Amino acid sequence: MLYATSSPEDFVPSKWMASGHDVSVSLSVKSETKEVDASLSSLAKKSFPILKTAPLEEQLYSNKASLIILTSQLGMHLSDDLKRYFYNEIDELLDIQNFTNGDSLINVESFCGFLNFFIYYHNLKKPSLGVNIESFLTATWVGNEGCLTIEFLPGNYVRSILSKELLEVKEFDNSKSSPIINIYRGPLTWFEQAITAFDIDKWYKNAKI
Amino acid sequence: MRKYELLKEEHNIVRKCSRQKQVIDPETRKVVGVTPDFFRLRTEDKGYLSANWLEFNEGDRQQRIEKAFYMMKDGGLIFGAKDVLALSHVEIIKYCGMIHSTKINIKLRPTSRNKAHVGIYGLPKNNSNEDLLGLLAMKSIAEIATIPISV
Repeated sequence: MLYATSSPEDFVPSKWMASGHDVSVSLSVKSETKEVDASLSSLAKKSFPILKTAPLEEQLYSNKASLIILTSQLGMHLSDDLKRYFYNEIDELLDIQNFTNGDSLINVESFCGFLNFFIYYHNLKKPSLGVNIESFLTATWVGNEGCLTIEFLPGNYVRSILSKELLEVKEFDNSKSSPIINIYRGPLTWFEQAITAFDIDKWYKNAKI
Repeated sequence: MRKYELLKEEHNIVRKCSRQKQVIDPETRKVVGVTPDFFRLRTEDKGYLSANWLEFNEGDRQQRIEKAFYMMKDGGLIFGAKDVLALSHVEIIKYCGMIHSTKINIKLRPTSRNKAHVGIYGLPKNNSNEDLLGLLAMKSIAEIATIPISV
């Protein structure tokens, strides 16, 4: 088989599989998100196949096309501004001029999780998007006292790394202070609950109108 | 300095950071940092991350950055159009490791085409210590420099 697979089982850490998690089951709770999740999963399966033997430019094009189509299919759930922003970010991350050794194509299941995250926790600020060495999409929000990076794993799971400097330490400087580092691994629907104690809403959420 | 000799704590290293590992301010489009993934070891990394020793070359900081860039390029590193250079202080990298009970060392590993090539050793091989990766991303990047020419 020459096609790169996008099956979730290929990307989910083996320990989760071993522990009996069924990644194909949606973890979303809100009814709207459930519908979106179902449609995302079916769309992800229809994504453009990526021929591993194809020239890099073609692989990037297929990957980009799949992600842009997925984003546009969810148009009604995202603002025009956000959609435009995502299109531009995808374009940059998968631009052949920027793509060098060590860079990866974006896993479609991971991108679905990212879109689901934005729909589930609506009213989020624009993040900086990246791709990690496992091909998973990353989103980073920077706050005054640190930053939050979320890696989107297949099956609506996330792995987040929160670094937050204590304010009183920051005032004294210094480069050798040690911020709080919090790691969360789990379903995206539990993410907010897991980090609520850190009071970082303003980093990644727009103010309520 | 001889091969595998440790870099002095007061020195600096410079690493290429691709667009996919950068943190960019969505409004200003400025690169403001790197993601924790910037410090993750890949299987092909052979147990260390590659970087360049800034103080190997003479000159002011800007000149040294430029020379390091050309040495990396001559050494075979390919740069993308939006790549940047991330500079770190050796002492801070080691300090981050120490907080997480990890001994990080930076050793000179000159190659025939890049005499200032160094390896960052001691990072967890299975990338299990995400706290350390988060800390390194937050604390160890002293400066982000743009690449001197368009590539």
